[in-house]
Amino acid sequence: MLTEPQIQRYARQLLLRDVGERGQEALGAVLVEVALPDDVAAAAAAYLRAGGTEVHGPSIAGSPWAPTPPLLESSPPRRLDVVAAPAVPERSGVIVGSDAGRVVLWSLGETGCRACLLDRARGLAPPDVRTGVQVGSLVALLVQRRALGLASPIEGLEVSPGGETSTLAARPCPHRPPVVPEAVLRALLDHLTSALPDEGCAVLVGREDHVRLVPMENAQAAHHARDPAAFPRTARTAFSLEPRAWLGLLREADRTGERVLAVAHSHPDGGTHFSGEDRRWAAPDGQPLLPGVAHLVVAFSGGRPRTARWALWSDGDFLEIDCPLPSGS
Amino acid sequence: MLGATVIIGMGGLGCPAAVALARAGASRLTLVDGDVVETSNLHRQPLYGPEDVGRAKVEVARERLARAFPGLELETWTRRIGREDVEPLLARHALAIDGTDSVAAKFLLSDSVARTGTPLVSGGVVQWGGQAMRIDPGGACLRCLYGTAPREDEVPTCARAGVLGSLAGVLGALQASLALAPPSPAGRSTLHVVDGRSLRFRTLTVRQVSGCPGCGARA
Amino acid sequence: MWSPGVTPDARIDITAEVCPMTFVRTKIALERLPIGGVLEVRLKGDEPLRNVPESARDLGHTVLALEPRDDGTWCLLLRREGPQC
Repeated sequence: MLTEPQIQRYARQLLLRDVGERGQEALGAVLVEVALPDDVAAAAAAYLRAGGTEVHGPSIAGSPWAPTPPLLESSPPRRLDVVAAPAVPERSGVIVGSDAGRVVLWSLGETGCRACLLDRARGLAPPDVRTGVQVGSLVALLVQRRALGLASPIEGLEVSPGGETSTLAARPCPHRPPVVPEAVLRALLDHLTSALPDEGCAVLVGREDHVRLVPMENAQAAHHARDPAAFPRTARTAFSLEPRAWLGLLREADRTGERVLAVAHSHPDGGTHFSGEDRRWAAPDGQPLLPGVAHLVVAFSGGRPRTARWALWSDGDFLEIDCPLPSGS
Repeated sequence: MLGATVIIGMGGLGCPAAVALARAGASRLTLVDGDVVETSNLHRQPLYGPEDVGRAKVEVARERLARAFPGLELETWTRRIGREDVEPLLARHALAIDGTDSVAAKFLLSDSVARTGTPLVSGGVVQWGGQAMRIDPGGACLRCLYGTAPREDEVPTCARAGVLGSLAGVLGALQASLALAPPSPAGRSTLHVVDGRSLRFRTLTVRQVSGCPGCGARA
Repeated sequence: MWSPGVTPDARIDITAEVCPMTFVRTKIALERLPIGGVLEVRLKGDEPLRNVPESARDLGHTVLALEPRDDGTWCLLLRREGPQC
């Protein structure tokens, strides 16, 4: 609950639908550490403090802004870092850098992917800012959005030397496996089980909020039967997606506005390690065949699924992440 | 370099515009505002602190700016300007910045551009959004954009009187950038629209409307 | 005075406030209620009378009643609607 002096000070902010008492308390619950060039830091700190957020940073002597501390009833429990490239915030925070004369700002939240932020921040030079008040107030805006819970997990802005601002586009995160509902995962395991003793395969299609299973036939058996010289491995130890089925799936996904989220296959008697063969299939010539698509390997033994792992392309190699299986599978 | 600039209204827009211009090397600023600092101003007007409540805004602003920018020449007007003040004021400055909070004042300033030959950077901020537009002599004005001025009693209700401070900073700084930019091409002005809630920044071209009573475009 | 069955969960008196504090107080009081909670607001003057009910509606809350009292003040009954902040 806000005190009377806080209500008087922040009255015009409390009137905002997205702020209110809870929002004002949220603004006060964050401590911002700012490490930026002086005039940018001064403007950012001035606006954040004026709005009710505590800021620590270099002492800004000679700044025109009033040194008004925010009205707070207790110490902020959370911290948020604002840093200058090439530094990157450890957790939630904002990075400010320069790229070909433009100032670039990226804001990352608790649920944001730090690997994505590193991707975006790669190559950013330390900030060279001519428009300190502009960039500083944009920093304050990004931090306030973050504190109020209104920001996307990652959001970015770009400022031209003339002060024109534009939003930087978000891209789907390739560093995290898709979230697969239990029912879909069980259906996948059933399908892979039905392919035993051969490797089974399937595709997961959808959007971030909705995933569906497309069971596939392992075309390796047919390839090997037709041309054992070119396809020496059988369906016991290799899998292949039938081209027409694959194309049909892509066309259907286009039609419904979905995309391919993952390709799954099983190792009937093996581990979940994304094998050399698996890697060569997924990234011939060292580049992912299916950019943005995750790979899922399910290891079976004794006819039952035991463990599973995701393989995600990141920074030149596959990152392997455990995939918990539903109990009783 | 920018000649003498007058900032009309030293509130949420005027404060960041003044600092941004001073930092960009402006040599002469005239600050106009008849109001005193109030507690409810502090969240969005960071030149003023709680110890300044009750003092004339332009006096506090003058002190802070003079201390931070020793080479800056400052003139202050501690009164609300009337209709009869506007044209002489604009006529003796190279550019004006609209930091006012009334529709009538904004249109009055816009109408004065063609008559005085002084460019104006118009601007406004409300809730999570704001707009800024540079109006040059020979360029599109507020009446080209809006048609007739809205009635003065179309004031936002209390619920819509909220405003986010950092957004005022963004808009005021944008006004300063537009002041430092080259004039708009003849017959046009660019409207900058900022939405801090959806984090979108757009620009729209506004064309002069022939026969416009505000900017006197040829019919 | 109210329709039977409507008992306010909270009451505020904003007769001493000027805009926008009139609505700031109302908004805070509404936010402190659970969804469905009822707030009684005592107010007076043309400006709050026009602004406060409309502002509450703007935010999605429901005006249950607005009744004049004998002493020149008015009583506004508001129901807090979602979403919960």
